Amino acid sequence: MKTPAYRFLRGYTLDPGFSTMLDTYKVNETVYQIDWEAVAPGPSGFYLEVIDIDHFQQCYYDPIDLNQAWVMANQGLRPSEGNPQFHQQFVYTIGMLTIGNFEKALGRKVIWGPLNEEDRQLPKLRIYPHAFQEANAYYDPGKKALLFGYFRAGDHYENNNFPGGTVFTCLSPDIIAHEMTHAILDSIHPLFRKNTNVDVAAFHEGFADVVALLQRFSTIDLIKHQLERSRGRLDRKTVFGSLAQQLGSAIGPGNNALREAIGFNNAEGEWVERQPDVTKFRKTAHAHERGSYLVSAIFDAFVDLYHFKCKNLFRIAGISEDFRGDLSAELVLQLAEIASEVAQNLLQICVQALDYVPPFDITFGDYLRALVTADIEMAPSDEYGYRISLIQAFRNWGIFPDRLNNLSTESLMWTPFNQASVPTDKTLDNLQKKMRLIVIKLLAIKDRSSFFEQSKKYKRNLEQIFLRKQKERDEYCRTKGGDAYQEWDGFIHSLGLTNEPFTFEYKGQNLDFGEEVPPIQIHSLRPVYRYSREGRKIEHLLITLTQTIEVKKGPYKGFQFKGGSSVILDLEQDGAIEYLIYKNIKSRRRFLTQMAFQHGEVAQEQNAMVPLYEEDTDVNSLNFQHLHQAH
Amino acid sequence: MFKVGALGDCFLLRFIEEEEQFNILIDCGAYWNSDAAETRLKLIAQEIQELVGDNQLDIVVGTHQHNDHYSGFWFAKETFENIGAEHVWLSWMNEPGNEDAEAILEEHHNLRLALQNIRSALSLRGDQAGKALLEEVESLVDVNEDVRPNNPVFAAKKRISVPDEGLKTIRNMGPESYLHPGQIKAIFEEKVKVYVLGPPKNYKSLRDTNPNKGQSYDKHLKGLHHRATEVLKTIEAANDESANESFPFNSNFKNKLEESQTDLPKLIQQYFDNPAQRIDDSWTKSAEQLAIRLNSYTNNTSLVLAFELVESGKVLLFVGDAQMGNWLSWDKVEWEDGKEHLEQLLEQTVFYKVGHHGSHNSTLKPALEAMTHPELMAMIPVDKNDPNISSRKRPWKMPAAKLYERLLEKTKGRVLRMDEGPHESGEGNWEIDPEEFVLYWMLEI
Repeated sequence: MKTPAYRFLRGYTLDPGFSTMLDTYKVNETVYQIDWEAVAPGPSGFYLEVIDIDHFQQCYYDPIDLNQAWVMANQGLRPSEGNPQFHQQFVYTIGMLTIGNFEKALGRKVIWGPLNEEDRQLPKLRIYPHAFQEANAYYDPGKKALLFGYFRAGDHYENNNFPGGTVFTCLSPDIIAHEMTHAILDSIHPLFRKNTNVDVAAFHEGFADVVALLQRFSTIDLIKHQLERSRGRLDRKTVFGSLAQQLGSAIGPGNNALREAIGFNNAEGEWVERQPDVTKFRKTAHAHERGSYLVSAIFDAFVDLYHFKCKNLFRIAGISEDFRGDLSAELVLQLAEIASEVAQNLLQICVQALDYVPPFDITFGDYLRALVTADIEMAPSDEYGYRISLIQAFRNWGIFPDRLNNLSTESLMWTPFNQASVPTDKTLDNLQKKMRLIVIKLLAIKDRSSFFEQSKKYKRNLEQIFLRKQKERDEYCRTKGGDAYQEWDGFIHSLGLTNEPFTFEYKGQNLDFGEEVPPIQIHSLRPVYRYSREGRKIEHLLITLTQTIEVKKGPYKGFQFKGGSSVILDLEQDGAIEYLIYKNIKSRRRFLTQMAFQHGEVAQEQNAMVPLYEEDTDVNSLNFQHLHQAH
Repeated sequence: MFKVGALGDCFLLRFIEEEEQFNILIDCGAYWNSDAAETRLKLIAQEIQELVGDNQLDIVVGTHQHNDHYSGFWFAKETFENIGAEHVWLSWMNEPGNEDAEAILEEHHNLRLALQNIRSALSLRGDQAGKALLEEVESLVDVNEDVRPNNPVFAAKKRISVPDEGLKTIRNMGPESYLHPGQIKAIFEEKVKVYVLGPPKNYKSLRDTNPNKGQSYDKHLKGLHHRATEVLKTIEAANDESANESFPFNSNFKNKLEESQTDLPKLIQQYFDNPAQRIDDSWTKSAEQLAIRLNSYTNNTSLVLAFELVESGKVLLFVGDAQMGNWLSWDKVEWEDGKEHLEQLLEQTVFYKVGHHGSHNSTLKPALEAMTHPELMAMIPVDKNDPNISSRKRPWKMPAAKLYERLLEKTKGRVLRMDEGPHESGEGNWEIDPEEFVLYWMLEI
């Protein structure tokens, strides 16, 4: 018999607290449909390994076997706060759901990086549903693990918490999706762990919340319920606002950008909707707050798109703005399907944009440009105005790229690569030939670890090619001189890289970056096959490459600065470069921004725990545990 | 700098002009309360008495209430009270009746109590991670007590806090003044001016960590205290089997976890076989952070003084154990003469007493960079044989390698460590004879 396509597992749609409220208990359980895979007890599958150990209690809980007949027969265990095995099943379910959504959008498998650079075997992502007793959950990139906490709710928590009752962060679908997204984003862009500008941490946070939010709106049962009550209208205050508020209350203050994105508690403790404000984003430097603006923008785009798409339906049904009665069940279902579709499309757009951002030092401006570019590639006609509404929402919340003349689609999208600027060079020809071969070979590999191993070999090969070319060039320049390498130099420069050692002047001194040309590093090399929402088939090869210079001595010793790019090759056009999204290693402006962020006065005050004389930890890296802790 | 034989500060500053001299003692303490410490600190106190001769000390300075700065005043109580001082300088944090100070100290006190309780609760646990955390908490909150078994006070089962007692002695040595940032005191017939830089008076700067806008120091301390109470409740509950029976799950679900067990499910066995992904101590992080933050608070209450030699303009900088928040507040100090001084003080610094035994977060980078005087030298009161450095599971890194390296560069090698003496690469007018003095290192400027 063929293996089934899906596995069906029951679970909560919102936090478990909603199951004990008359209003929501019916919709708080649903049956999730995730891709089928073979799983051992844990669940332990291809991507995830749930291990339920609690060192604090010095105990472990028996791993659930999803293949057990009666578990299968019942579509998994019934949602229950009191049964740890259901918790295991639930983190697995939402984890796989999130992975599935990413893979659909990315057109490739999610592959966790190795625990150590030298490792040949790739780890599974560990999930510890009961790791510690604290109102926190975080992704630990060093352990490749998600850790979820649990705690006794304080008496001071309002709303739907039972005072003194136990709250499990691993039962909140939003929190699981959020943490999963950190892990997946890290697998795609590990260099986003380098905290090089004010947006990097904010992006990690905001993006994780965006995924959680859109995933929630993909659940039809849940939206149906909400639309019934709001007569088909979606706006922040009436529907989502109250939900987000309750969600936040369980976790406690300071830990929920999702909640802050929608509204906040004013001085009197009343919840007020947050209004778009073009000026605020620029003024705030706090990661959570900045991240929440991204969520606000995407949420607004979602609401606008939903109303735009439903306009005709409302008209046909004769429902005007001031309609007071109940909507018909059929209409609600139609509306819910539209909302779910919009949410899924937006999620796809948001995820696909990850392939169009520079491989490090991301800013929200870069991300907006990536969103626009990716979507033009996927859906050139954009019938329903996804792009426009995203641009509008970003503008309303004051998120724009730097140094841009206007916010038209054309000026926002990255400039397509000018084919004429590719040097006529036999190394490049060879490179391109090699690419095709590499793609064919890589696609034939089914096993994740061998894929990783093999692609690592290709990456090292490519690096060697660049290195040889560099040597050849240096030798030529030394002995002959002349401009035979002018074209090649131009190409290297367009990748954001340098052919020559150089320095930056800082506070009146030339920093010492050494005399060597920094080696070019290839970080990822992935063939991509995907279908867009307009049904277009896209075949790409994605390559990211960087160079890093590091201060060798003096007060800024150890300071690192990167240049490099994300290169998108079109496999249908013989591997021609389609986009080259780069950050120039010689950019003095960016250098000064990073210096000010990591070593300037602002940095000292904001990251007081950070750049002093810490020894073995990489002080400029994100710490997810602290990122999530309430201050 | 006196060699206190452990992590600890004790500095005697002597200004001399012709026949006249002026003696200032800054702190006297060692980290551990042991018989050895008592013997050594008593010897040091006698040495100080000999050095000042028939005179009183001109000034005794207490920077902040930590054992490693005050224990000598307890162990050698009589000697110090005998010596006496013309003036006692303490920070405004010690000023009786100062409401801000009292509120903060009370919060400190509560938090410390909570941590002491956490300590007791933890000592009942048998697991490795628990032991490691216990060590961490103990090292931060517990050394205050004089627990030498043959100590009569301890034998009488009285709990006494050594730094508290030390402070009493200091107060007894002479009339007290409480210093506020911004004050400038002229001493030694106005040949020396003392600039008071810290502790900061605004609440926010007292915490060294990420200050959220609009959040007061008080509220934050209360928050910490709340968290400490939560941690305590949880650890106590875990110890109490009956209370814990159904938390977080019914006991039927719980399987005892011991690595040595042979009948573990395959998955759990695999967990133990793969150390890279284990999470044994993840639950301890929260309590650990609490303990560390509390310690930073007290360190940030350090009195920070810059002594300017009026004639030459040279500056000696004593920062106690000041951490981030304290350092960061200096450029906001409003000086009583209405002028700006910080930049010049740092530029003219020729002697820097390295903060907090050279820990990684007690010297502010831009401030050290601003010390550009060609004669700059530094002293680090650190002892590599202190068990905190030599034998802890997670040893304290003092001095922090990067800081040490930069200090050597900035001073051209003129760095003197309490345990090792002057660095071999030191050049210039580093006048010191390591062999001559057993109890202290002396430097002439």
